[in-house]
Amino acid sequence: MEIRKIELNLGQKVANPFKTTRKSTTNPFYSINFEGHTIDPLICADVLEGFKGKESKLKMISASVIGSFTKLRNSITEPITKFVNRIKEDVSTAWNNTINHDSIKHLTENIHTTGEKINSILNYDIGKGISDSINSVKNDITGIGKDLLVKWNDLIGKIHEHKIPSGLSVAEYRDLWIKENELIANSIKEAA
Amino acid sequence: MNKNVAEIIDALAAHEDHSSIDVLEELGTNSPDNEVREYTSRALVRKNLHDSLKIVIINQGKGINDLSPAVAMSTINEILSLKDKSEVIRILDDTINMHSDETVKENARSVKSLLALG
Repeated sequence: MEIRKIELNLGQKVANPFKTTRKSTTNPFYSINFEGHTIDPLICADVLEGFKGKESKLKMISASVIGSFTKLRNSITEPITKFVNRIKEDVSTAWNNTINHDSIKHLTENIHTTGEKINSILNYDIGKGISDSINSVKNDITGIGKDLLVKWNDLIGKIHEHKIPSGLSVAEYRDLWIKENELIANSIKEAA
Repeated sequence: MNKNVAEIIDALAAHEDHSSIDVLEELGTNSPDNEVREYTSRALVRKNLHDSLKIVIINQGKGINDLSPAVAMSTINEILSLKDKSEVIRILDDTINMHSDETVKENARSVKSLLALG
């Protein structure tokens, strides 16, 4: 058997088994129809045809975005305004059901009644009570003040009235002393 | 003590009329109030006259012979604080030598001893 020499001829072209042949377009939607509708030729256009290498990834991303939008558009089966109105109605119905429920209704009435009572108390009962008390205390203080003033004036008057003047005769001092002794004796009797 | 009574006593103590001593003795030293008696006795001592000093030294139950120790001690202190003690010593000597009551004599002797110590 002849052993053949195996050598690599650098000039020889070897077919790459992993190399795939590319189609003329990179658009994934090129041959896809959506529910019988043909896609806009502009979308299907191989707009990134002129790019090489990295640009092929950009083409795939842009194509995916366009596809997502299309899918989303088809998934929404009702108009957005109708959807919003339905949600609004649901919320409104739920609220009405809640506030018309017996226990909630009762609670609401109780709160309303209590609020009225509190208002009534604040506006009338407590206010009137405090006002009356303040007026009463004010009257009492005024009365006490008047009494004190009268007594104080009496006391000052007595002091001035009974102040011992200087330059009197011995006989006059004696009379004053006797008078003072009588006043002291009377005050002791009153105290007793 | 009543303020007016104190003022009357002060006024009588400063009075030049000799009859003020009689009024002080009549209404002051005979008062049932200890404070009035004490204040009057001191006023009589401050007068430093024979008649006024005689009242607080030779009379039983008055001045240094008062039954209240506070009145007696206050009167003795006032005597000890006098600048001119000549008249008070003379009366004390007469009392020690001539008074009929032994208690009054003994008190006069004690006050004279205190004056000698001072």
